[in-house]
Amino acid sequence: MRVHVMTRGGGLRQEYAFLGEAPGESWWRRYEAVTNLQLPSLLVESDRAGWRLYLAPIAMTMVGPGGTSIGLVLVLEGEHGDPDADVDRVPALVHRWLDPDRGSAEVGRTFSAAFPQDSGTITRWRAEAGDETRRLVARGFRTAVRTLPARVPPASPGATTAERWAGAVDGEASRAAFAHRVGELLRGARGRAVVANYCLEPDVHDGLAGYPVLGEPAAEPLALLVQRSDDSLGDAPVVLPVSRGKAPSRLPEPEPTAVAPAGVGTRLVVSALLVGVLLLIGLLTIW
Amino acid sequence: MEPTRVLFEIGLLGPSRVGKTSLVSSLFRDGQRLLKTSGVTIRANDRATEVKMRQQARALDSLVQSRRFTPGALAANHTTVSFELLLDPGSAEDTAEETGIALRLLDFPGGWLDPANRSTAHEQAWSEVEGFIVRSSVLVVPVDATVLMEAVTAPQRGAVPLVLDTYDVGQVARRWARSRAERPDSPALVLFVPVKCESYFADNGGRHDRADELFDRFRSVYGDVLDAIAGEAEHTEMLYVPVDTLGCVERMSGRWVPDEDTHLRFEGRFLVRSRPVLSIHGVEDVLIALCKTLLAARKTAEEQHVLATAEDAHAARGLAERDRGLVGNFFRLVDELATDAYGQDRVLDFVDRRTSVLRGLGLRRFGEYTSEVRAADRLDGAHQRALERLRLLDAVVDDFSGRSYSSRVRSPLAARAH
Repeated sequence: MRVHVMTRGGGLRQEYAFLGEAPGESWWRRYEAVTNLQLPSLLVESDRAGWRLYLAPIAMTMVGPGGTSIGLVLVLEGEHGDPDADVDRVPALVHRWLDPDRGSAEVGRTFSAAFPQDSGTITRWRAEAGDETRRLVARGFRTAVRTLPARVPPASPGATTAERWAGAVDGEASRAAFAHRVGELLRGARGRAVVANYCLEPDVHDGLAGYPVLGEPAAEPLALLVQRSDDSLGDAPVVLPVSRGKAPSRLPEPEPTAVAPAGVGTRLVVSALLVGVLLLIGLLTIW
Repeated sequence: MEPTRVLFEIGLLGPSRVGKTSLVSSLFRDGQRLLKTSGVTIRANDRATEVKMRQQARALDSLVQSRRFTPGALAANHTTVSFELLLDPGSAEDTAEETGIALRLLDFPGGWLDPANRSTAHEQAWSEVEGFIVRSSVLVVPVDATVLMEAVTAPQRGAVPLVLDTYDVGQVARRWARSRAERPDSPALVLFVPVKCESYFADNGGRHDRADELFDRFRSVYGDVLDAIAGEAEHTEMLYVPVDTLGCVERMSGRWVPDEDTHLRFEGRFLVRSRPVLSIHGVEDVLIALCKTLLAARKTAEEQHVLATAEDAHAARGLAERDRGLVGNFFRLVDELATDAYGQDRVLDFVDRRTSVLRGLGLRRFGEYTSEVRAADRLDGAHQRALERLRLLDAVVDDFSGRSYSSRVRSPLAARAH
């Protein structure tokens, strides 16, 4: 498992940058149409090449220049079948982070303790992309995840059997199911798990029509957590339609079709034939 | 062709932690209230803007309610964020697509201005930001008023240009001005917007009036930036528009602390006044300036569109009513009889569905006249709608032309101008 951490430095102009080596590709930017990557966002992809996870922000306890709050962006990447035992702790990290009350604060405290509080170290790590920095960053991550509880509450029966489902991010049952899905993806299942802060409950009922990055490919397994907006999703996950379009809970609306009233076509054909005959007579007369 | 909304890009140009996001948030938050008598509305034009504005407003409200406000406490950006606001001079929401003016702003981590602090991973993103700024019609330059005003000692004053990064701001502003000079017919407006001005004006609950001192310091520190713009694009309009981003706070204390990048930086602490209610001030001036410039530009585009639609409609009508010769006129007569009997829609629908049959019968010209009349009617309709939009815009542009700026607004190149 490769661990990448992004945060800001202590100097006024030291904007967010990866500590040491950055991931080879900023793959998470493909999701900019569905989530503001600076607000709580979680993206997990799993395919033949392996798995990737983007989680942000982890709110740190230290503050930056002028009292600015500092967040930490976590990017993890790995291959399926990696014997790294800490991979199995990631779903628990996800579950704690998704808890808006105590859980996310606990994650923030834990990562703040695991990563240096002094800006000098952060400044140095930002500038040095060598093995030593990579090792220290990975160690900070492992220290943090090993401090957090390793267990995810069991998902409610049937919650994860559907390949494509969505739930509200504040629904406990949905959060637990989501964390379990993340575990499945990291263990080799194909698909994606996404916390998208632009998506609301009505978007789920509309089959995610406005969000092609989530709707395509239509058959790809997807676990999606959206923002609560009208309480229509409840606490537990709901099944997303396999094909794009309206959700199955709503009957498809018939397409309006313009049909000429019976008889009009026939009358027009007869008229057209008469015109043809008249035209023929006219032409013969001219000749 | 029907015009859809007009999009104006507005470049935000300021260093890290100056308050770029807060300024956009103030524009959005106060805009609806301030413009309500103008016939213009302002609203978020996409989900991304809606979400970001809501989050910013909640964070701000929470800080204000806690009674002690630290300006930098709102989270910093770690990537670019695009905002799209819609200025709608139309009266109904369903006309917004036709009459609205979308304002797109691109927020970015201000530290990227300094090449020395830009990581290679961010070069591509910065290139996109710079491209956006350079092609923008309007440049908004937020200025941290507390940094200008609280520098007392020589080292502190020496740190001010570094904290505000006026060198890099000037470099980008110069490139923007060059780009504007190449488009003398397009709008070119620069708004210098001192933010966090609550403690320096006495017109919004403040105890001291240090407006002149703030203006003098601004001109001193930003002199090179002003010269760069004026030198590259003479037709640029520049305005100095101070804003109270919150309005209900008073500077309580502040200190200059060491900084790795700028030697010193100012950290101010603010106390929320007795009524913890936002009283944003100065945003109206920003909106008036934007509306005056952009609505006038939209009106010019709309006038051109009205002319074009009039020509199209005239040409299409001429085509439909031309002499078609004996056979053509005969078909026209048949078309008119069929249209009278069944209506235009049914005839055209029939022709659409039976094209191959009619061709087979040698009647391919059946429906030709009706189709051309339909096209001419549509272009007439488009022309009428364009005229209606122009009439609406005329009223709104007149309204904004009559509005005057508050006494805070000045021309940065001259003495008090408004």
